[in-house]
Amino acid sequence: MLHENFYSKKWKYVNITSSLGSIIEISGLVKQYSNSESNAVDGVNLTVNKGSIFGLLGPNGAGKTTIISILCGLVKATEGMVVVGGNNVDSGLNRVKEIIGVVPQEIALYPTLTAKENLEFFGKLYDLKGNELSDKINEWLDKLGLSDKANQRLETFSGGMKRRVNLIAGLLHDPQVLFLDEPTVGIDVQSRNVIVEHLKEINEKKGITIIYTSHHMDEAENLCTDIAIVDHGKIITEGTPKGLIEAHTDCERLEDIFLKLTGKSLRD
Amino acid sequence: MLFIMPLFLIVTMAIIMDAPFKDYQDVGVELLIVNEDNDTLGNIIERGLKKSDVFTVIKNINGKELTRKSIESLIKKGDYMIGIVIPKGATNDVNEQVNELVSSMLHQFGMELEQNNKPKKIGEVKIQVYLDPAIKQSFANTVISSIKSFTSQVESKLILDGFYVQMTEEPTMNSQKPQAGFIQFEEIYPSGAVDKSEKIFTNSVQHNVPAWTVFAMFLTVAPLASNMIKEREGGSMLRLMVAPGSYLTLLTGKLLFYVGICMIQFVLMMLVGIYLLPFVNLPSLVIGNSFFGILLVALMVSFAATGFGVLVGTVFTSYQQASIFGTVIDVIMAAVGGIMVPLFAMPDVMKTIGRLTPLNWGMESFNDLFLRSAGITEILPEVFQLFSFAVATLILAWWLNRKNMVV
Repeated sequence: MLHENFYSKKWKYVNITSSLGSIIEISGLVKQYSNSESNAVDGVNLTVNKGSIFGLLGPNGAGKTTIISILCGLVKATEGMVVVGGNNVDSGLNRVKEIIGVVPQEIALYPTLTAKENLEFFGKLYDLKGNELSDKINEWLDKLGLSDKANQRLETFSGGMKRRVNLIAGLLHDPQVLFLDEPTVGIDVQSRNVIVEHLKEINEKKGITIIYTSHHMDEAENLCTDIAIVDHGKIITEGTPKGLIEAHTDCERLEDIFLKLTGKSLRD
Repeated sequence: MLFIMPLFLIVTMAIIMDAPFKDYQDVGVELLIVNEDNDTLGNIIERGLKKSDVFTVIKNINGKELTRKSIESLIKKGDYMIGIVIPKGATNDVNEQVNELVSSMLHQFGMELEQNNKPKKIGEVKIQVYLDPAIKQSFANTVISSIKSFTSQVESKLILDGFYVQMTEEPTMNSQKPQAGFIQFEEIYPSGAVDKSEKIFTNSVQHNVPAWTVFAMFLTVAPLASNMIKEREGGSMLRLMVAPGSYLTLLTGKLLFYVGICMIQFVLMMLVGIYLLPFVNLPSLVIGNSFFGILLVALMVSFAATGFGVLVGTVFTSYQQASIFGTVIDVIMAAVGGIMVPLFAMPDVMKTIGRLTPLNWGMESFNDLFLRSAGITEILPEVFQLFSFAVATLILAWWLNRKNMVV
């Protein structure tokens, strides 16, 4: 239940009491871009529970990235409310930024800097410094098998190695919520496996809530505790992977449900 | 961009570079004139200059007749390059000198002088020529010699008239040609030349070092814009945007970095002008005495260049576009703004456009400080223009970014 002060302009910056156990609450979310007649996001209502791994799945252009961009404060919603960690994204964006981590689909790093320099730079943006920063960087580089490459320029890395550094950059400050936009796209099975295993580990050990988008249905089925399938800006189904498969008796896998609900026609 | 910008460049350069291929006569130099004499000499000179193809004579600005003071002020500010003042009583003084010369020549021919025609001490007739030190010396010499040749014709005519009057029926046309030279020219630098002993005009170093320094500082537009676009395309901008802190903080960081780069550029180029160029037989750059003024202008030029770079980086979507636009627009602004060809040698329309470019404001500020001995007060208008330009470009970039919303 949202606190009533949320609606008062006077109390814009008050920390909002979210419903028990939820870390993200979205209600009546609409986004229309000026260059489009249809809504990119069309009346989405969604709750993400604390500590869950939430898969936001959908075909290209379904509205997944727009939803994540609104949650991160990168895109302003046309209508609706978004609360992350008890903070209204509109009025308390800076607090939201402090508690979220973002791993974009692109390798959002500086190619001419070394892995360590990149991580130091992005770590400092979250007020990490000195030994604390250095220890965290070394720990993560070690965990993801990149210790011996720490001082090499990123442009010399393989796709899989870059993705791993990309992931670390979003994790260094121990966010409460981690947004991952197709973190395993275009990489080899080994790198993908390492990333997925570590996502599970940080979710279990540190209680970080993960919001994850992917086109790999098997990966989502294996990783996510909750799933929502989005199409044409709307959520067309949501639930646990197991629950969804049970609800669609004619489907054996998540991919079958996905194709059944979103159709087989090409989207782009 | 690859097609449009070169088209712009060709048209602009063709218009601007037309002037150096013409004689000064064809350019129509703007000449301010104050005729305090308002008598024969002054009127003949004024009429003659007006008829001449060399000059565009200006007697009034905005409906107000020019005065000696306003000429001084306009040239001091660098708005005009050259002006002349024909002093009060010039006709009378010349006539007296003519009479003296005629009498002395008649005396040489054995003719008795009347008492009142005996030589007496008469003051010189001095036409004051006001010059901006930022004018090229060769150009100033050309202009002055044009005026001199014109006034010597006036002198000769007056002398012949003098003979005619005194000898009435005695023809004097075959007599020794009288020596002109009653009319002297006094060159005045209202701003005060930096080095009075050497009559500093602008020279290759005085023009090129500050001019190309401003150009180089504005060249940072291309790398800054390209870097912003690369950050946006690569996603690192997105990561910066989701980190705590506002877009303004992010912009401030970028601004400080690139302002720093521009300032380092500025210092290096000034050092080259002062210390290195004399080793290749060029004069050393004279920078005047207002170090705070120089620092202020350099900072404002850096700020303006950086602000413009941020705007270009926000407007364009590919770094190739930004890179081409950033470089070519700098060349165009350099051409229009008087970096390549001085503004006074350009057509009126281009002069007006040139005075709207930040490169011109920067260069004029440095000219004020280096050549016109200006202090902080004199450069404030240009400093304000540069500052306003920087703020306007940043506000526009911020607004566009907010409008586009997605980084």
